[in-house]
Amino acid sequence: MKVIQVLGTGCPKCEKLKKNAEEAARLAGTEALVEKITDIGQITAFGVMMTPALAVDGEVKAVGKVLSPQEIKAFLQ
Amino acid sequence: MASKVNRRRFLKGAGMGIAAGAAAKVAASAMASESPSDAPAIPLPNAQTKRAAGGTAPTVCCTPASRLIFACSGAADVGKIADLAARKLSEEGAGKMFCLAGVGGRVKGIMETTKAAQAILAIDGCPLHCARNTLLQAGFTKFEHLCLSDMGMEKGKTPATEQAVAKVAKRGKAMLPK
Repeated sequence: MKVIQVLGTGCPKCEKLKKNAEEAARLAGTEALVEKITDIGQITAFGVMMTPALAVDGEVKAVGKVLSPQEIKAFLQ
Repeated sequence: MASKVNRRRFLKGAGMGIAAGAAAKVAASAMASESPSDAPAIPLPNAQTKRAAGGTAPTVCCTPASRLIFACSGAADVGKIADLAARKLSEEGAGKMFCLAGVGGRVKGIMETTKAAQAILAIDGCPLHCARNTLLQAGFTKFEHLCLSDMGMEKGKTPATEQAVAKVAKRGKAMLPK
């Protein structure tokens, strides 16, 4: 099972990225757990200084942008 | 500690996400704790957060693309000046000092943050250009480069005084986009 982590403190962009991550999981047909991480300490522990950011299985894939479901889907396959 | 993690499980073939009881409780708890005052922007020196008039609640939490500053932070006096100048620039809000070692170690989060930067400034103490070379070898080619030796600061002969740090910080600030 993939773990998708959405890093962001809760603004509309972060929410959009979370929705896109959920959509990507559906599109990929992959069992996935979508986590939203809003704790600043946890976010910076990823080495991330700009949000929103996205990590898959603990590895940061994108920073400072809202990826589309298709873009996220590519990380799940 | 209040939960800061929303979890929703997506099962293969499921049309919609299924939140299990425990996960739903975690989500509800997280939602409840996500009042605007609980969700500050990342508290970095240059974090730009718009706040609602008359209140402390941020209306935009996402931090914008940053101007990142990397210093060689070498062992010599000039390395110390480069490091202190980068920290000074960071404190003054000209940019954000970031970890050159993270780039050298190809730490994914640091690499992706660097890729997303609006501008990058590399500060080297001596002509060995360790900061510059570290960035180049990591694939970053678009950055400003400041070398202290080009400012007449010679390795081993330039104590890390406040004046020297201020001089480098001033030059670095001028090289970063407004």
